Amino acid sequence: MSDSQFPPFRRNANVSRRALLQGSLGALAASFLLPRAAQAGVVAAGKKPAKAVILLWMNGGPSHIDTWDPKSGPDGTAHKRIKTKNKNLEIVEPLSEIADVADRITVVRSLTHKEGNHQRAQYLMHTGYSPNPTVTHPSFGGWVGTELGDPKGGLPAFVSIGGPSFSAGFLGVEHGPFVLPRGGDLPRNSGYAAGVDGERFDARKKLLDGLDSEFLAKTGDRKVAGRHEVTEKALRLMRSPDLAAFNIAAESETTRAAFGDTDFGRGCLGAVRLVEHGVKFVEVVLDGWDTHLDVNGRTAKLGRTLAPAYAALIKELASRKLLDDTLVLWMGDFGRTPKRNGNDGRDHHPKAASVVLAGGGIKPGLVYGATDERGDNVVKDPVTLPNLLATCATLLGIDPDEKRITPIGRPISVTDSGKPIAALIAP
Amino acid sequence: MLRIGPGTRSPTGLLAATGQNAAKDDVDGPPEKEATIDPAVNWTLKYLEAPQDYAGSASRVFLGVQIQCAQCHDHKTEAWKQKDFQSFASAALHFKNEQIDKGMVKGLRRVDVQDAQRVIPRVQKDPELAGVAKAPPVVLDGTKLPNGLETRKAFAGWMTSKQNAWFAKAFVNRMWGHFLGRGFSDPVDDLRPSNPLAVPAVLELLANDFAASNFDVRHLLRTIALSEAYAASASKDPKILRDDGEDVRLWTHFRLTPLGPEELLNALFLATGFDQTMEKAARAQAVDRARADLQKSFGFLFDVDEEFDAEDYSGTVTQALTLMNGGLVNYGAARLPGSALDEILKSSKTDSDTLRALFLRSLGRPPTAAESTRFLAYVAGATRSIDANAIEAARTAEEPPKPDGNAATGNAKGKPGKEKGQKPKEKGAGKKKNPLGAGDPAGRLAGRLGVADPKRAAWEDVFWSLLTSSEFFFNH
Repeated sequence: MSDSQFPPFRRNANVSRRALLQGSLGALAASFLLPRAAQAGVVAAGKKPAKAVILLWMNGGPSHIDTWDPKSGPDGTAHKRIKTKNKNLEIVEPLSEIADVADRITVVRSLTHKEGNHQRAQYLMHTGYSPNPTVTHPSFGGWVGTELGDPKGGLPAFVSIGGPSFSAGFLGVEHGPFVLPRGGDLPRNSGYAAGVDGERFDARKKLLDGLDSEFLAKTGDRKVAGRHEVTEKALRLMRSPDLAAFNIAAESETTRAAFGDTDFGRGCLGAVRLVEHGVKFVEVVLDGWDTHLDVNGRTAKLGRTLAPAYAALIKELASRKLLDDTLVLWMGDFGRTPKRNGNDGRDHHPKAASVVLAGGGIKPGLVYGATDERGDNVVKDPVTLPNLLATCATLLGIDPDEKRITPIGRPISVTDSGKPIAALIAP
Repeated sequence: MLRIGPGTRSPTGLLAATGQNAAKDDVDGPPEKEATIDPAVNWTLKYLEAPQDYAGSASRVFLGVQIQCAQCHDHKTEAWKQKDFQSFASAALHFKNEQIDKGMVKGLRRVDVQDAQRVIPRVQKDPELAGVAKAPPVVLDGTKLPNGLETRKAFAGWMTSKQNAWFAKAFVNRMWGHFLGRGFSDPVDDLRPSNPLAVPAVLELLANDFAASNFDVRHLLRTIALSEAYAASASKDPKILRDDGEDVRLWTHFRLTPLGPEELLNALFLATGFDQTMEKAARAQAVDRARADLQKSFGFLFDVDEEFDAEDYSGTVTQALTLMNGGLVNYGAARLPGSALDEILKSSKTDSDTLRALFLRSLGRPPTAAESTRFLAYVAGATRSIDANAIEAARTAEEPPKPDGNAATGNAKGKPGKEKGQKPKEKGAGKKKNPLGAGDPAGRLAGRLGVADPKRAAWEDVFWSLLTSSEFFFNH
């Protein structure tokens, strides 16, 4: 059956009916008309915006003191400190593989916020907003996917590997993350079921289309047309030549080994392949950073999973000429307390945390901001999440101030009106 | 329903609950003094990190009033100013909370909530919340509440009283929206004057009636269920459509709503007899596990966010893949021992009987004349027999290296043999995994598909199309 039996489906998730009624479309329309890259005025004229983001999400809140911002003293880190290719940056020994790519990355040691509870901090770090009962904010991934659009080859715009990430909120369920429980594999159910091949599937699908087009004619409900569109999208994915991008088995033994024999490593290699095939936002989760107990032992173990994968990710993106177009973001819920608790662990510390940026037009090789000698307070160049996201949005050519209308008719911006940090952006 | 149990679990009880969130039987805590256990305190505890959100949530959920908008600054168009927000928030926060055990026990933090003279210490200490801490307790219609131990009870009492003009309206609006796909206001939790209502007179009438019945929820549900709007069919009268096919009038027809995860799963079980099929194929333990796995994955994949504007709901690609290619629908639609199709084919005399039974079983209605013609012709004209093992073998041969993503292919007990050119499986990435979890019965089911003659295969196709259809997926 041809698609023409289904009328074009007009979504209105981005602009509420009320906004239309109130005629407040003027401002929105005007912002759509501006070329994306020129809007923010921070990215130099003629520079191409980045095309994709890889977010390495450190679930649980990584200790800044035992990773990127090592401190000495009785409560400091027990890890050895090592020098890196960036003479201003010392990191801990479990991250040793990263020393070699340190000239290509920039460490922000001065992220600060106020959410000390995991759920709230994770929401803030993903959306730029603290939770608010009146609205479900879109995650940055949902926003980027919506702005930059679906890849041409049939892959989803926003993929999350190893964790559920956060929804696209009021932008609509279709802009939410395509979730893979593990990296490196084809998505579940992306192939035909047992006893079904392409020929049989087509025959079945024709029966289904017949039923759905009659149901649409009968109800006239655009949800039916919308669901048909989603089914077609699923079918495009199943039959996309790019589907193989999910499967890292096509990579050489050497490449796979470089990322490490871990789910996180496989997820990072998968992310490279997905970005290569036009995916706009990939989140890869490394869980276990909530180190209330044995912070040394745990961060050593996590570091040995993180470091090879991170270094290989930067090198692989560079060798495929993708690093300039891909912003790699490393962050977690919050930092951890300078004082070790009775269980040799560290507790939640939103006052100070580290974030690491690479690629995508950032200025590499910096150590931006600083904490005091214990790692307690930010003492130089504090970075708020709205400003961090505004920096990322600017690099992607998205206007950090662009407003979208929430279901109750309130205009909000992707970054809570954050301002881009010029010092982090390559001239 | 809001009244989820006897006694304190009404909205009033929810807002004024005191006591412990869990009993010591739930965890291995230290011995405790005479304690009142009321899980309803969890509603309060949810806001410990952000107590300023408590009043905003309560007024949005129970009153449809978006007082939160006044938290940061005054809005010209809104009735309430920042100082009103602070007074209202303060009224809700006259409680204290005390942790009972040291740290978490069995993943649970036990806390005791009691009424308090002043607002919770967290608010008193936070300089940003000073405005809330100092504000005298006043509710949204200007009624001043006693300032002290009894503030919270008075707050909860006012929230759910007949004197409060919003409560009955908000509740009726929510129920109407729940049953009819759209409330009198859209979104359902925004009854501000700036958000125009559809047929306000009807909402007024229902709200007054609900209040007069002493908030009898059954009475309200009966009224809604007996309304013409609820009885309307999902078919649209073409006469009321605009040129672009959009119906601008509300409730002239029933609005489609997607089934929730449990409803969808149960509907699929019921239509296919899939759990019986599994029971015939595997041990009870494995079946239970598979069922639990399905519940978990459906709960995640098909979660319907009630906050989201349901008018645009069209689902996700992952949902579509799960239904089209997942084990539940595919084995459910197959003729396997104990399956619905098996039963129906055994008991039907003619193809028409079979078709009718399949329609009734999945869509709850007989096929239309046009559908009969089309589906019967499909079955009668079928010429291709399906050999599941051969399909599996062909797939294994053509797709090296083997991914584990495919639902069912990974475990088909076919005899694909040793394929040429297939790379050895790597550690981790190539592990066989079935969508229904380890040791699950579906793998056995794949092995039982065997060879289907053209007619059986065609009936499986028909059933598959009914189970994946929008008519099945949406409540209508």
